[in-house]
Amino acid sequence: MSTKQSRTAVLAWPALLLVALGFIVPVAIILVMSVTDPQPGTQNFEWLATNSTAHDIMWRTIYIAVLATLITAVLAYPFAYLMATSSTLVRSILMVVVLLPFWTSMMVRAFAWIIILQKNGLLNTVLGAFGIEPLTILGTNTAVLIGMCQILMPFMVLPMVSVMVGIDSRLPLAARIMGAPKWKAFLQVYFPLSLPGVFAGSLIVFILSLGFYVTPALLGSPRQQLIPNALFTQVLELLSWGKGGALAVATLVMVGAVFLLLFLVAKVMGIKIGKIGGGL
Amino acid sequence: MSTQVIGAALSLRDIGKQFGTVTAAADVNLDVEPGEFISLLGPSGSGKTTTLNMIAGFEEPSGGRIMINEKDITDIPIHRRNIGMVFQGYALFPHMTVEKNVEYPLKQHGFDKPERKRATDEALAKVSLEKYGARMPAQLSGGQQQRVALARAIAYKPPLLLMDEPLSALDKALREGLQTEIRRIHRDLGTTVVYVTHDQDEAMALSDRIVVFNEGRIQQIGTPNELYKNPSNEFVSQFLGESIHLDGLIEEQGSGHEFVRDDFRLPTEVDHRGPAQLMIRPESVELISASSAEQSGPTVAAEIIDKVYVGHSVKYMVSCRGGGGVVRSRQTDVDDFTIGQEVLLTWEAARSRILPLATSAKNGEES
Repeated sequence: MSTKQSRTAVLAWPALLLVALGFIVPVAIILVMSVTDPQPGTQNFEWLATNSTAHDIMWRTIYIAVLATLITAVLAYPFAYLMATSSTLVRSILMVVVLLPFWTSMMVRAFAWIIILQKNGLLNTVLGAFGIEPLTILGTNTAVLIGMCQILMPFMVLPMVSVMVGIDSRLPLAARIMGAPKWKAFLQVYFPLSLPGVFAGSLIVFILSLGFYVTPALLGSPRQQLIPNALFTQVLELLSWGKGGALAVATLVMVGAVFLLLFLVAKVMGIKIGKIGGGL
Repeated sequence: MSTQVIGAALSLRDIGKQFGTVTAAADVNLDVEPGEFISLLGPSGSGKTTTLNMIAGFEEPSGGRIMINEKDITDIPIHRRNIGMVFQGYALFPHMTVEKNVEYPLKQHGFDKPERKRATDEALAKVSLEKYGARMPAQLSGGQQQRVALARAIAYKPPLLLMDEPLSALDKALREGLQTEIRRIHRDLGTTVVYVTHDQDEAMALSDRIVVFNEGRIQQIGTPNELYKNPSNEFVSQFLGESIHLDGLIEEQGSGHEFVRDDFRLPTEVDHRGPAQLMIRPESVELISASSAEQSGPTVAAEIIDKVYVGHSVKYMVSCRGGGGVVRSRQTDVDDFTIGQEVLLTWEAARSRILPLATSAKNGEES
């Protein structure tokens, strides 16, 4: 590193310090607690490995996170494509549409969903008008998924758009003049080039959906707990910091595993990993 | 060494393109012979690229028909036009190897695997890149990428090849090398080429015929020699090559017409009245010192405003009342003029051309 670089590097210290104090230190504390609370030993991880409720919670969380990732990816892709291929004006309008939910609190949005989805809510009233039996959505995983997907959408759309706007618009045209019909030009040229954006968005959405607390607490059911809610119960209601720590460590390992998996898939597919997150 | 293609005949009939209130191209009529190398030349926004995009099918013409080999293709989708294309900035698929890029059109046109392999190798050999098949486009230099784009466009031997400013991103030396390569490939292949460029030297060097565009309209179509010697209007004369131009008027004189300035009058065939311009190519003008008495043709007093040595010749920029331009004289000439010197321009009347000027708007600028 040249002296000039090291001098500028000083400016990064406050941020590094914040990450160290605000992230690394607490994680270290959790790690330590998971093997020391209430007494030193591996009892917390043994509990995690043998307790079927804990397993259910973990699998359910992963299942919901995977579904949320898939649903947002499928819904976000056409929207991002539209944004990337529109004029600057239309793109700005669509951008506001994406960011709109950001300006409302998560809590407010969860309550809005309660109003819509509850037994005598907006949805069932409308369905009733068509003679359709009322649906039980509130208090199920479906409600949790709906609430989560809505909140997560911008995290999927934005990385997608930033990769898509970088795709040379003449590439699909080049494929077409070489004899490829529209759909083939899209599938063989545009889509593969947009994948880094899909990967980046999926990674963020998946990781974020493992940590949702308010939405499942308000829209889901206590019998269908997810990791964050179980953590809350363990730590703040049962004061079992050790079990909570073990659960948190397990989540961290899961995130690491998903990261690694995506990294490998990207590598096999020849997608530059540097581009993942490049859109953030 | 390789099979020849039967080049396609291309006809544009009254093609026009309107973007809202902006006319990008109008009244474009053009017939390209099979196997011909034709350039669409003009400044940016002149309609040349719009015309090319309409041939490719990227833009839908607002009016007119496009025919390939007498067949109307105006409404045929892009992928069924059987056209090859080299894009400005190459447009190589960044996620495919060089080989896969070149193979792509062959795949789309349903060639079987051994045939694809053979044609890909042949195309890469043609541009001397046979060893680069496994590389990714990003690992190649600009010139190499351009050659891959060329190989990709010719791999399936399209009867019509479109090129959109393919060399504009390259430096001069590389450009000239690739021009030779493009000429050779065109000769070898026999395909019809429509080449868009804003570089007059490139158009001159490559083309059988040049189509000069300005403000959405064709100004003139002709061989490089015809355009240089006989430009049909002021725009073509100024856009192609250097020249001396002198403003004047065409007046009726007896039964004929005369080009008139206060310093000379010349009879002309041009049947027109009003403002006009006289154009002489730099090699046809002679500079003589103001005191000189040897005056065989018309003369105009001028001042030398700049002087550049270009190897075998000296380039003088001259300015005179109602005109100016460039004169080249051979290094060996006895007379050597200095900047600021008063001189006389003289030329053989037969070697100058008189072009009527478009009326109204244009005149305002000139006066």
